[in-house]
Amino acid sequence: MARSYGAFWGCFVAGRFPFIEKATRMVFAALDLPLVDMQHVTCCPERSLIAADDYDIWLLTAARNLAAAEEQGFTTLVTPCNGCYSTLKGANQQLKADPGLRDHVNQRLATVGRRWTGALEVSHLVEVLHDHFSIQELRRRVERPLEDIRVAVHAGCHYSRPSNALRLDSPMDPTRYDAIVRALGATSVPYSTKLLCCGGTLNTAGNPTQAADMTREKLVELRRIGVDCLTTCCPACLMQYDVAQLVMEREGDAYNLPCLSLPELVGVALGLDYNEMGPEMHRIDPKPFFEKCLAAGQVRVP
Amino acid sequence: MNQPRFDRELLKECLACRACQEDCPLALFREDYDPYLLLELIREGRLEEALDMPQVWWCLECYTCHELCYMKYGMIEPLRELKALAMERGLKPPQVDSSLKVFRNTGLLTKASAAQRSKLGLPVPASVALDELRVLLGGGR
Repeated sequence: MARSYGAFWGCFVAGRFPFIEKATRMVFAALDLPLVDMQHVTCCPERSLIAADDYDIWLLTAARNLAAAEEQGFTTLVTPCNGCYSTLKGANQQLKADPGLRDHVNQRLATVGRRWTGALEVSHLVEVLHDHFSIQELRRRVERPLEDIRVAVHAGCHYSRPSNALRLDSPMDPTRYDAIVRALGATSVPYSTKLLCCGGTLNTAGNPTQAADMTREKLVELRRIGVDCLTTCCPACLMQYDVAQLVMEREGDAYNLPCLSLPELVGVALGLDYNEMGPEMHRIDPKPFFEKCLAAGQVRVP
Repeated sequence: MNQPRFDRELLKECLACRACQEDCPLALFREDYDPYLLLELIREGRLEEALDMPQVWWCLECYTCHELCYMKYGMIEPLRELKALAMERGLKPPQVDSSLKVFRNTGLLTKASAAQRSKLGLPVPASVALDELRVLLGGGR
């Protein structure tokens, strides 16, 4: 059966990084994948915050989102955010595995007229591109191959961990994101701090300086080995790498490394107009990078 | 439905193993972060001392220890319980407290900027089921 995609954008993407939403919509349209916004949403909710405060509320809120998406008739709920993916996929898997928990949750959901049935599949944007659409087909659709563009992939912790719940990619050696980058014609550069956490959580704990120290580790290595951009499928990581660089720059420590979300990178390779994707909403200007991509990618003759 | 608080037997095994000591990115990075010190305090029942340490909030929840743990336990589980206990006692960093309030009051963590969205030609954001969330949170309709 063909999939019908519902979009769960999440608080961060819809609220703070609408350019990620825009690029995702443009990529889906360019690939002829229909995408309908899920309605009646709430925060997914963010796990480290809400589950620590009240685990019950974390699970119920996630289950309510899943039940509302089921009711809207999607086969697949897709999200471009690692955090939303981790919560929604994790909760979905947990409810599938535990009938007792399912009954308890459904009793509570009945008070708001909802029911979780398990009919929905939760997919990460990477999964849609790599597994549903397929790498081969993606490669065929590339109009401006990113030849000689050196890309540092930062998939982010919650893209593949905890693997027993997510089952998307290898937890300590994920490969799907890199395969997408290669399908676009670019080089996914190997580097030693590739799996290092961005440190963003330390901001929430009130330690922005510590967070920035951790973020800098990766920036220092990437400056040393030389890459054209960093790409990530996590808005929290994107914020950390993009915004923290601005603070570092003010302190005289400039890296000038453009940080692109996955759909922006895919978009430019598909020949989409980067000006429509809101490049001015980045802290580190990605326009020179986009121009380099366009210069590298000769238009393919159909 | 809430998970058991602390499994002291499991913690004993955990503290005897310590294989993930070399895996925690934060412990490798910062000399002032020793997650095993927190775990030892928990095992010894010295919760007040543990809760007094700012390090309670430092675990990144990156799941590296969980992934590499042969018991699929990892330090993350007891450290997350410690955070939950701190929350219950009202010992939360101000950022955590304000985010929780925003979630409970709006159903979201971030309000969308209409100006930015319209600049990109994006539709109005999805409707928010705040009424349903309020019922689940126990506040009634």
